[in-house]
Amino acid sequence: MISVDQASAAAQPQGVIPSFGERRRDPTRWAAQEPVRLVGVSKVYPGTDAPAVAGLDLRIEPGEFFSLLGPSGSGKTTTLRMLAGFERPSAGKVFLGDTDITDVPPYRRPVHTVFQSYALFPHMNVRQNVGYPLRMSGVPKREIRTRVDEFLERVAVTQFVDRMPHQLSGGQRQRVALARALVAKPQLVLLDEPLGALDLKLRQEMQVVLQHLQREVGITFVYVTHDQGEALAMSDRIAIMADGKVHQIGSPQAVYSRPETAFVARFVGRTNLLECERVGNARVVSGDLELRVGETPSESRFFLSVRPEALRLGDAAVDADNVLDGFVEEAIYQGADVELRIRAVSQLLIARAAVGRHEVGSAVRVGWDVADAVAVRAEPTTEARVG
Amino acid sequence: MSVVAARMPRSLGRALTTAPALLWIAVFVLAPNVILVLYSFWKNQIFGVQKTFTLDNYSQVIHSDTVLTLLLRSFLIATVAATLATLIAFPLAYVVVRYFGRRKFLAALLVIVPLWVSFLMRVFSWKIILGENGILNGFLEQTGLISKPSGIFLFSPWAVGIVMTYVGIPYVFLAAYTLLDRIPPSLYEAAGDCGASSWHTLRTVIWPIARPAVVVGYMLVFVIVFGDYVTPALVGGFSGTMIGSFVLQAFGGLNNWPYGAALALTTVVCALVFLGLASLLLRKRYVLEGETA
Repeated sequence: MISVDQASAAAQPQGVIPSFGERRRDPTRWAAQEPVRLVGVSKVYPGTDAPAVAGLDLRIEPGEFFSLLGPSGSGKTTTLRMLAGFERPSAGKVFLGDTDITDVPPYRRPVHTVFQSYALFPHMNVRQNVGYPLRMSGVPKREIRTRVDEFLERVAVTQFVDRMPHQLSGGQRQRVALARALVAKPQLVLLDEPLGALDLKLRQEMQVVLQHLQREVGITFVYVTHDQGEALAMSDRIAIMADGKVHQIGSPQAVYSRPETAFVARFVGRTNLLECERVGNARVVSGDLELRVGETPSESRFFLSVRPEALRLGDAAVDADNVLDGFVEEAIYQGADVELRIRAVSQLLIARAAVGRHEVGSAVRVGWDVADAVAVRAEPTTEARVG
Repeated sequence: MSVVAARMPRSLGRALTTAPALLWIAVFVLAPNVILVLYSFWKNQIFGVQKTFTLDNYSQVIHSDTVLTLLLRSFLIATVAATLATLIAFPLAYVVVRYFGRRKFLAALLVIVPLWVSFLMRVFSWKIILGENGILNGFLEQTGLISKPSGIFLFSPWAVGIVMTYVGIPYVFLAAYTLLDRIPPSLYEAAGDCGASSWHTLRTVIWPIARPAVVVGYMLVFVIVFGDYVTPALVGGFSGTMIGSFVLQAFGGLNNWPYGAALALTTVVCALVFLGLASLLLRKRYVLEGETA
């Protein structure tokens, strides 16, 4: 959307820009949300060779629920920590609106974090914890009280105001941490795998709480997670990261249905990845198979991603664009349906089928349409992937 | 669990396992103090005591101006030394934990090393520093601040205070370091994130969490200094005499054990009153990560 050159041009101050010291002094008012930009940001930790984050360009829109999704070591947490100010980029700049905040320390940034470990102050009760950011910015005591009450109500922990953190359950601590991050009405809230320590049921409950809260308050959320389900469920947009680089940025639907790299296809949802080589117009070979394809990247070698639910089985496969004969090698019962491992010539394909339709060892025809297969690159392209 | 232990009634097993500890306490803690209390109510006579009840010893202690002066001086020196040691050791521990990274253990070790040296040696070494032919005088002479060696550094309450401060530093450091090291780094970050500068983080988050541990270190130093008689003897001179020295004198030179016992118990009670007040600062309402409630 925006190139690096445009970004740095837009970063030039126009007129007088209020310092963050001033801006923070009135945390009782919702500041107009501003876009957050990372421009050419890299981070190399001392004593390491490989950069944790390599040349990141990112623009996060005001009021957006933006997720950084990736496996551990992909640089997502480092990116978050640079937004918070806990880490200084080795190169590049961080902008909030038009203001360069690269060198602004955490305590002067209108950015608040929900930590993975919650990091509640153990010697303060719930009320004091949530009121702390307001206390630090010099809000009068009486006002702190009403504001804290308001936010504790939003996260539904009003009955625990006098408890100490160790007297709360994991889910309750999570809500208090959330209230603490929101109470000063920051420009940006960062969430570092906040649901990681919760059990499945609570996690799903908190997903809804988080999403509703974010819509309600309209603050930009940047959410770090390695759980693709979480990212798909909550985000407006997702940036998928691996090895310090962004592979793709897009809406949940876009990254799921139109992955651009093999990594994205594999990491977001389950898929069948077929390594292909172009042999003609709309024709490729993958191992022993010759397949028909639709739109392909410019490279001669790439991958074809076919989602398990896009595979048609048995009679339904007959009129598909690509048809293979195989047999069921394994069937994994998953409640609502069955995941089949189908051996078709040299390929092992994963498909979904209704329970009881296909026996292990039985022959089955597999097929898919050209439109249901997405050709993906092995690696992200070098041109800036600015969403 | 062994077969034998499994067959034993649980109460008997518990009694057997706690017996050595109880015996230890009875023999080495309870008995000497009971004897001390008994002596303090007995009459002194030449070459021994007469076992008849009397309150004379206490009345003598209470009405003695010397005792009052010495108690006050001991209290003053102990609070000053413990306070100074805390003022030095806590920031030191904070800096070591925060900024020494992987070398913090080594740094902590260096601060604690003096504890391995005999107490007597540590105190004696200050004679070399503060004495008339000592390092301090030599330095001041060299720099021309004084023309001839001064005797004012040694043999004064100040000398005792300085030496006891030095002696106390490792204790407070150890107490503070152990606790500060257990505070998760995310708490510092969370405080910064909430808008607290380093100073505010220290004042509103780290200090309240570390305070109970620091108070324990403070009390430890106070106790060590309050009853000490070695340091006053070595560097205190006459004006640096403390209550401990007087107790020692009662038992030794005066050979008046009942008076010594009354004196000692009065000292202990005074110290306990102070420690009781200080322990109000010990109350801990929080649980750190990894601790059980």
